[in-house]
Amino acid sequence: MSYITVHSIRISWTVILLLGYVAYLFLGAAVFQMLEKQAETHTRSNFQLAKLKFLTNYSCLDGPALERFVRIIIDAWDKGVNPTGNSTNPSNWDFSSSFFFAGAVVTTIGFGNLAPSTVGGQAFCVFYALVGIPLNLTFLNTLGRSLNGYLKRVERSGQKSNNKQVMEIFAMVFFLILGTVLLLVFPPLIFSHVEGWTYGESFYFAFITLSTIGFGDYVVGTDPGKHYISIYRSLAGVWIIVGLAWLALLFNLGSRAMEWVFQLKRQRKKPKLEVKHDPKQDDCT
Amino acid sequence: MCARSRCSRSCVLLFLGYFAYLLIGAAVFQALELKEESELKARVWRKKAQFLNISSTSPAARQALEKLVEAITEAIKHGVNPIGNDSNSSHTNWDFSSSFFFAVTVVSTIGYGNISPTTAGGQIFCVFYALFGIPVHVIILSHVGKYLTSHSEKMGVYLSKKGVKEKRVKLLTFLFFLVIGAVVFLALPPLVFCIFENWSYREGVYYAFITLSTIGFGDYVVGADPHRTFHRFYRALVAIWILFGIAWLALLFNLLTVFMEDTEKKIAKIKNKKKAAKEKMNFKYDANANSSSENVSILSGSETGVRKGAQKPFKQQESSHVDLTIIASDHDQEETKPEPEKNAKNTGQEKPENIIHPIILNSRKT
Repeated sequence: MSYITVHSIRISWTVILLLGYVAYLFLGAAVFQMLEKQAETHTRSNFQLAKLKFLTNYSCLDGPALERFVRIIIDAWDKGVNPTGNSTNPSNWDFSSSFFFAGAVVTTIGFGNLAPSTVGGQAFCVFYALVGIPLNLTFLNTLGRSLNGYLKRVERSGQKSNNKQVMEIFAMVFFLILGTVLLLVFPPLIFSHVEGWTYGESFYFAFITLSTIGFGDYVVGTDPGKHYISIYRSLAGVWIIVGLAWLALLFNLGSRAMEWVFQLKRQRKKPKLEVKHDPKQDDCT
Repeated sequence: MCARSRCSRSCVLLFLGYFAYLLIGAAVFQALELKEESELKARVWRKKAQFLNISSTSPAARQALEKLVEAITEAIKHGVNPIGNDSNSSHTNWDFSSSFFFAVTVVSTIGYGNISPTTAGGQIFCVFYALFGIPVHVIILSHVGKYLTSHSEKMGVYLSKKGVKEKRVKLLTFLFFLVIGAVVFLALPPLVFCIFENWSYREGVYYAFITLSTIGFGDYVVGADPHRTFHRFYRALVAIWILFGIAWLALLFNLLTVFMEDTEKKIAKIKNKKKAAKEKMNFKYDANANSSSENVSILSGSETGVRKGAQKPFKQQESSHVDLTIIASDHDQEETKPEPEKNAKNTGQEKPENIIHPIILNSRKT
């Protein structure tokens, strides 16, 4: 009865959402292509020029030898070894870097500048993630609850006015702005200072990391030419964890807001169906 | 108050456990990988030295070599394949289907990183694209998750009709969900990858897991080998697999998370038995909001919990009850009779925001 009706409405919403999702992907593909293709061609031709220059300067070398050399460099890079510099480059698997890597796995960021290359490492990584990801979620959940507690306190302190929802929205907005400044605006300043990136690149890194996308094109503390203080990476780790909890809250509110808006629209458009459903919905409190 | 001190004690324990887990992982990874890395390093420096011997040992030559190596690494960072010569330039990382695949990895938060935006415009657009795309993806995932669990629920209903006990039904539906999902998403696709990507089966499984958990290292990526041509539909099929697989694995992680939290709360409950019983009486009827496992189907249980939360988007759902009921652990309300029927009805409700991105789900439970 109402289940079927609801079901059919839900189906059409799902289809609409799915179509919208696919359309969003197409849009993204087109824009990325437009923005990046030229730069890629540029990089490619620059590199070919560099190669040719090198070969002409050292004509005793032949092409194939150089290609073999390039292959080794690529292989090294894929395994996380930075081929620039010399053999005194710091290891990628010293304890603090391994710790950072374990954190990247468990938070599903997965930078990828470093990845296990041994069979044992890969197998262990899978099982480690299988347990570690739920553990991380539990932990973030607990953190999120504490953050929520503070939010509730802020809300309650201002709930004497009649416009309850306005106050709540106000508190929410204030909280969001504060969080944004503390976690997304301020740390990139530090990163750009320490790592030598521009502020835009640091912000890009911060966002990509906290959303757990984690490309790995920028990673803190991996420049072999710089010297970092020992707690730098640990501080970065703490920032990541708190930032994750906060950003998850943000995304959650965002999708709930979208849901709420859809619900409002649906309520306005189809009051009849709502009346039918109310007796079944024994949970509307 | 008391609730907060209890929470803070378990919080500290949880934090210590989490930290210890990271430490253990770090030690093991180091033990497994360090040796291989030093061998690789030695090989690279040897080759470099060999190369210098071939050319010459003048500082100019060494510098030139360094510059070349830097140029190579820059090219790799920007996703350009340094092997070969200009005849390869017809291959690009940013043709439409590759850009589409990239958009998928952004929005699903996998983020391989073998290709990433290098222009300032690309990076800015990427940030905003993800900002709106990730919530959309999360909503889609919730729908997919619901679709996946509906099958398990059907099996659960079928089993309970056959007269199987409730707890058995729960266990069986969970096992069904786990095994079928593992076969379809983790065991079968690597066979396809063996053929198309020429990876070993183990590498295929590793890649499948790393992708579906959205870790996405990028050390293995489908369709990234420039020397192979791929079927048009191959990438499309992979995208579909990613969508369903992520939803399945997210549900699985959510179940494991719930299990971990259950254990945590049971420990807390044992310590405060009497108070818990008292609070259970008071809040049994109010606080279904945060129950997540007292249901015919384990899977739909969490859904109803979140559904409750979704009804009042800006009121973080009776959080005054939350603090107490967390400890009172209404997970124990499995025995109360009205729950299963109520929640069985509610699974038919139109609340799409269910088991989606695990992080989202869990923050919503608060």
